Amino acid sequence: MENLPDKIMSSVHEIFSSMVMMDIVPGAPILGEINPLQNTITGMIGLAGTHKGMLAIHLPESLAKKVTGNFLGMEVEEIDDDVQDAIGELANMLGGSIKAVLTENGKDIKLSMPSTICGKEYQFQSHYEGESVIVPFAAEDSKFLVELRIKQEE
Amino acid sequence: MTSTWLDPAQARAACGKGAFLELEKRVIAATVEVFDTMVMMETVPEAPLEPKAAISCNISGMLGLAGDLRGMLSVHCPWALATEITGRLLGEDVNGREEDIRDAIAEIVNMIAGGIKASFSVEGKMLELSVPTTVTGSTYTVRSAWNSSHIIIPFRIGEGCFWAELKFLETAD
Amino acid sequence: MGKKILIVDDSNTMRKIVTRSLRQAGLDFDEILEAGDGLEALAVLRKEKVDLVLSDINMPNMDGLAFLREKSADAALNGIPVVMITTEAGNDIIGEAMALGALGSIKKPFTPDQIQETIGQLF
Repeated sequence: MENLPDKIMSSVHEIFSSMVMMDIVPGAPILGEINPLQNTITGMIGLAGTHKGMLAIHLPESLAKKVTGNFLGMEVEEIDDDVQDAIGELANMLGGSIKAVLTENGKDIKLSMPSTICGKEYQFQSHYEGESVIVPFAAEDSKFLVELRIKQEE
Repeated sequence: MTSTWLDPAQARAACGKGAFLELEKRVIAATVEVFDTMVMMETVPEAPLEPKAAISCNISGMLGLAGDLRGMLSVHCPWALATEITGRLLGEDVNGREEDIRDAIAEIVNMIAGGIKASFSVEGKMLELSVPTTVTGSTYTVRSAWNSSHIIIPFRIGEGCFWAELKFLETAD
Repeated sequence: MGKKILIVDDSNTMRKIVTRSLRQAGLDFDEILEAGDGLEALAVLRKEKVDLVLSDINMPNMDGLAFLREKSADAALNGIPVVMITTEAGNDIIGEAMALGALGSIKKPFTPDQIQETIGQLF
């Protein structure tokens, strides 16, 4: 698939500029291991249909709180249900944006329900042969990752 | 881009109680089939838990469902049991082989999802499967936010227990 | 007897599961060979005398259907029996595989008995 990093950057930018209203700076795709994730919160969503795969956004807890605060328009003190729900919704929106750029007719790719994982330390592993792209984004003196695993099905 | 946050009342209306009960049967049938055939360990489903129930596990296999239903299927398992299950599945001693255990749990959730998909397709409902992911650790929580139907079914295996969890929503299109 | 079975699947885990099931099915074979995709499988078939191939459908580089196509185009390999191992593949994909020369299919999840039933006669 062509230009996956660019497509990811454009989708993340679209969502962050409109819904999160936060400046972000993309970096070069990460080729190495990102695990274990520590004090992180992950929003993930599955893709199915003409393309199969998974999209995840991994944010450090402090950044996740700021993102949620901007997204929901409120002060956020801790990683509570609101934060988890917001990050899940973020994954949903990113999924929606990326599927629109992966196919001409966005309807050919369907999204699953999003889920959120958070914890002091966990390993997050996709078990799927397909292209794997991880793009880091700098934001608010911190950084987050967007991970896409994708393969075009016959 | 439209927002997909659903009004809770809308969400409840979208999943009738009938569909909800059917889901328990499907998850149980698909899970028992995988464990009877591939793992060859007897599993006994128990009464579904309250959605907010705390589950103590070290590995979760997760797979998204799309199409006529949007959902997320998860299998949550303590590490020792995951090790035993993997050992049976692969026919080898897999103690300490983290990668093999993760791959096995991923394969198991994939097959359970396949069984659920098949049970829907005989009724004309099209489900598409996404791809498996595993989360491993000692302190993590998994949460699917949407106000949707949600079932958590414990399965007793020998002295241990794992959980199959399904959240789902019928879609408009 | 020296019989060899080739298992083709991009998942290392799945290859082990199939191996374990073959042993439990009580089939008479001597060696299990493995390949991660259709391309590797063709290379193995050209090097070794394989008696049966069990192949997944969805694989990178060369999938199960393309493998069947390539294999049937090669006179030296054409006669080697192939059985597909599928997950949620619809009947049309299995039909396509059969049209391309597969002799049968096994749907996951399966028991050793089911393996025995499907491939016992080919072997």
